[in-house]
Amino acid sequence: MTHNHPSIVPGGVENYALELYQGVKKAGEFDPVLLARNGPPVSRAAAPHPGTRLSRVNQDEGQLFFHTEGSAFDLFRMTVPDKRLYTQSFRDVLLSYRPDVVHFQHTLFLGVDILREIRNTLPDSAIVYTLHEYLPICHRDGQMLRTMNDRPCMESSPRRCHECFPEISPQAFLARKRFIQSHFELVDLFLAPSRFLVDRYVDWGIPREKLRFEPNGRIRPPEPEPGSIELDDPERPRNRFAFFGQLSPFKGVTVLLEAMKILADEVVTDPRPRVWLHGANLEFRSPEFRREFEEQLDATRERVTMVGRYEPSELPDLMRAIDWVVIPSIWFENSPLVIQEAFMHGRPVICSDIGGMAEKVEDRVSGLHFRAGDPRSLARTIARAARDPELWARLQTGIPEVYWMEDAVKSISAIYRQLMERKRSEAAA
Amino acid sequence: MRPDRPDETRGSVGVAAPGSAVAESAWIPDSLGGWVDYAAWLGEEILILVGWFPAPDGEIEFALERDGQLESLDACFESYARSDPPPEDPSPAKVVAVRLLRPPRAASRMGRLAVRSGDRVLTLGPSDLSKSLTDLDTLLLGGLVPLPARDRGRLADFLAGVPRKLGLPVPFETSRALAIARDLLCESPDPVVIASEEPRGLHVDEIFSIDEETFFVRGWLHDREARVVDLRLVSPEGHRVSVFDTLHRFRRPDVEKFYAPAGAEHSTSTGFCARFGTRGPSRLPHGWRVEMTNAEGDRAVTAAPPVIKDPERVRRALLKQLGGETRPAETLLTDHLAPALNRLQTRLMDQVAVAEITEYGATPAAAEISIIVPLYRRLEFLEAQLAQFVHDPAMREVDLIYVLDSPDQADALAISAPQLHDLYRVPFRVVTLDRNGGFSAANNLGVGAARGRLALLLNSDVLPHHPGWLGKMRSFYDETPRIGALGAKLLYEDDTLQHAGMYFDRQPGNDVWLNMHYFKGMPRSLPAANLTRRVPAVTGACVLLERALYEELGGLRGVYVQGDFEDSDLCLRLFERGLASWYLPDAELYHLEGQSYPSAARSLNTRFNAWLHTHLWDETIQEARAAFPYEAMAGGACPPGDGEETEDGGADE
Repeated sequence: MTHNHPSIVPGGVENYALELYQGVKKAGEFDPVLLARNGPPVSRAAAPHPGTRLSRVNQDEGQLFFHTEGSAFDLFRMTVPDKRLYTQSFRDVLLSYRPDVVHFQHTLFLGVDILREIRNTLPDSAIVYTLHEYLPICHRDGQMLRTMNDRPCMESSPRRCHECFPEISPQAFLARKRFIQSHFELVDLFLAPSRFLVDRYVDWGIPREKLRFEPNGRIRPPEPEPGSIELDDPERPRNRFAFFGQLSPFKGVTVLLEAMKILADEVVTDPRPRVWLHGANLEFRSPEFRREFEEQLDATRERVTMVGRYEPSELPDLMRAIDWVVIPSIWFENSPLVIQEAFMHGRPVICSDIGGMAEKVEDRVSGLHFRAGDPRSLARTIARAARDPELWARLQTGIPEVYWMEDAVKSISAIYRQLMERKRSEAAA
Repeated sequence: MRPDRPDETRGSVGVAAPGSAVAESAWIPDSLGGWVDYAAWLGEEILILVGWFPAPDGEIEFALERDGQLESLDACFESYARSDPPPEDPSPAKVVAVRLLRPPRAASRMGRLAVRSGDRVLTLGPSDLSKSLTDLDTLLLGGLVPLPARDRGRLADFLAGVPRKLGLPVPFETSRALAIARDLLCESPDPVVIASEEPRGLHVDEIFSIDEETFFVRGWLHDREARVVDLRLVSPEGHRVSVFDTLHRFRRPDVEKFYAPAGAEHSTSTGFCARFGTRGPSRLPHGWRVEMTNAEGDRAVTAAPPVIKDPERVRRALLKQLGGETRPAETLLTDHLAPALNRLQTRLMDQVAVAEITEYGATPAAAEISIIVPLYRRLEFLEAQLAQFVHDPAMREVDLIYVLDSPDQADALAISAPQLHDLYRVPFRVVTLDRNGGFSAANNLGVGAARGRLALLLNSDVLPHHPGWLGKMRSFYDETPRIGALGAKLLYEDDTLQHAGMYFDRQPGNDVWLNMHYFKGMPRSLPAANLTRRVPAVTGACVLLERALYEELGGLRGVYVQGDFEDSDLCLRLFERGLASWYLPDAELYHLEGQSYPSAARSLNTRFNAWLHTHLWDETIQEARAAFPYEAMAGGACPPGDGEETEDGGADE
């Protein structure tokens, strides 16, 4: 189950959900169904067939849309007011398929109480929930950044959350947490793609024994045809840097631009670092942010190239054209896809020293850390990286093995088996 | 219009008596002189007669004559001086009101109207009456308006009181008729002019209806020339009430300033307010008048704005009056605000009833415990509670009752309640009230629908900290002799204490007792807050007691405004009976206090409620305090008494 399907809007979690579904299906042990939520505000499509919330995604019978209204979704408590979504529509789905395992990738626009419906209707089914993000912990869209200063936050509590949202009482935050946890209690096993995520949810109140670190597997790309890759000059300077991702404040793109401005103003390096920005959706940002971004881009235009939107299929070529991937996010990140992409293409990563990024990129082994949100620290790191081609080569050899989807499928299949066994014995007892 | 001799046909006058028949035989027919000038109906059951009836011994009775039998009729009269009675009989003329059914409603019981004084009778047949029967306006204009002003005012007041004297209700039409009578009989002098150079000023800011016979007026008066000696209110129907003796007066700097330029040294300008009663119901909102008289006999008159009847507005205005003064005279509360608010609260509470009881899921018919949760506005609390109760198997065994105290949300709840039951599978009942009744009414009506031997009152913003609390409370209650109410440990969202028992305290220089919470804001694990012990009182946010006991006491008292002090009032009533309130720290729940309604209005409510609570309970509170010295409680020692001391409770995590 997921909150969206890549064919509506691509995104990290929904891509992973589809790939996992395809991987499990291909492995043949289980007979999976992908139920992807559809509806506003993600999609403008309404449920096409009266009397059912279901419709087909494509020719694959195993992929279905589950339409919900979205407008009534309570983003604070993560639920919908009309419980017939669960007690009628979703119950029908459950009774038709009678799944042994229901595996959630997200409950946004579905609601956390959907978990209770599974427990009510199929008491012997296992519920697995992959926590890809922090929405249940943090009402600020799960960003874990304080509203007053955009500093990362490691301590969710009614008091702290009320400080971020003075219009919401601390009591309401306790009620929110208690409500979400009431339903999370029904989950048999939580998975999380980073140890950082695991720790955050343990802090928040999920028992550690119910949480397991399970990295997101990557689809193995087809082997390139011989001769299709141009040979790289090992002596070439490693001064090409790139940013991939949303052009948003949380992704730290302005931290990167500010660092480039500092380099232009103060630091004389040779070779001079150059930056390419691959990203889009600037039009969705606030006017203040857009103005700041444009001004900074203008001030650094000699060293920074704004490239724009890219398709996932273009990544190999784009990666080959640069040396370093910079991830300057000011928030913790979950398990950024860009890191996996960079590593798959042998590119060391320069990233903020916090959260999921710092966990996935080992400082001075597979990349370099800089102080999150600090343009000076990033400027120094970039200058150092551009100066030293040997550093680049050493870090490239430190890049870890990619965790391929077939490994993930094996691991997750084992989890399914184990949980099904446990449920069977519980039912027998 | 002297009556004819008795009608030959001796037919019916088409009137019927409501009263029982009184057999009479010793009377002399048609032996009483006298006549009726005018007769007119006031409403459907009152016949007004204007005429002269000699009454040698001062008494007149009215009866219905049928078949030689007289049936006594309820009647009343007021005399007035007139020049045309025969000189040999100086009896005054009279305005009479007789209780009779107006035709055609009276068709089933026919008779003739008889006026009797001693053993003499004047009977009035249809033709007698038809000559004099007219509409009320003609009766007033022809018979009473020509009288001197002094008589007119008195007769208007008499007419206004007629329905009450005859024990009859006052339908709207009768009120209208009385208002017309008042306007015709009482001259309306020009209203006083409000100008700073005028010697007198009089103004009514607002007039409120507490009930149909009780009102509250607020305004100001000003007289530069002489002391004000009387202030009267005249209802649209003609009730005339002097409020001067009980008037509460307070300073109105705005009025003082307005009249200051014209010389303020003799000024007696003040604000005033008063609760007062009329001798019969007054329903018309328009037409109230106020008359002021000073020591020199000068009068000032002004019209009042329409009566405000909305109970919520009335209540706010009464409380605002309290809030307007820092140190109001005790009589403002004892004579005006408290009786008015008590009456208003009681009236509101008496009006509210259960409209509907809906069952969601099979609630246990033989439950030991009923939980009563009033729901007001914040319907989402229902879902929040169910999402916690669902973890506790004990909650499937209880009789869980939600009392919807905001009935305009009945449709919304009727949609969500079955869905929530379907999802959570915790059985519960919803008791919908027919109007908003407040905390006490909601709880009392909820308990009225309860089945359990024990009743637990629970606020909707209380969430269990962890399962098992209810069983602990129940066991403790059943094992403890002479227990009255049992309270729990309530926590704020940051695990600090919201409630660990209550005691009474007051500020230096203030007579009013306040309900204080022990250890409020201290950490959950504070040793002193983890002792199971007797306390002066416990909060109503979560309180367990025997249902029969609760009902015997009459439940929570509705005289307090909007949910405050009812709980300590209940505990004090238990204390009077020698039943103790206990605090059980082993039962832990969150109380998300302060989410129920905005706090701006709350401080005024609390000010009044605290005063009333003190007024009602001062002596008992002093006794309770003697039994529970704060220092001893804070130190954890149990007060002396007959209760059993128990082991430490302690948080169990």
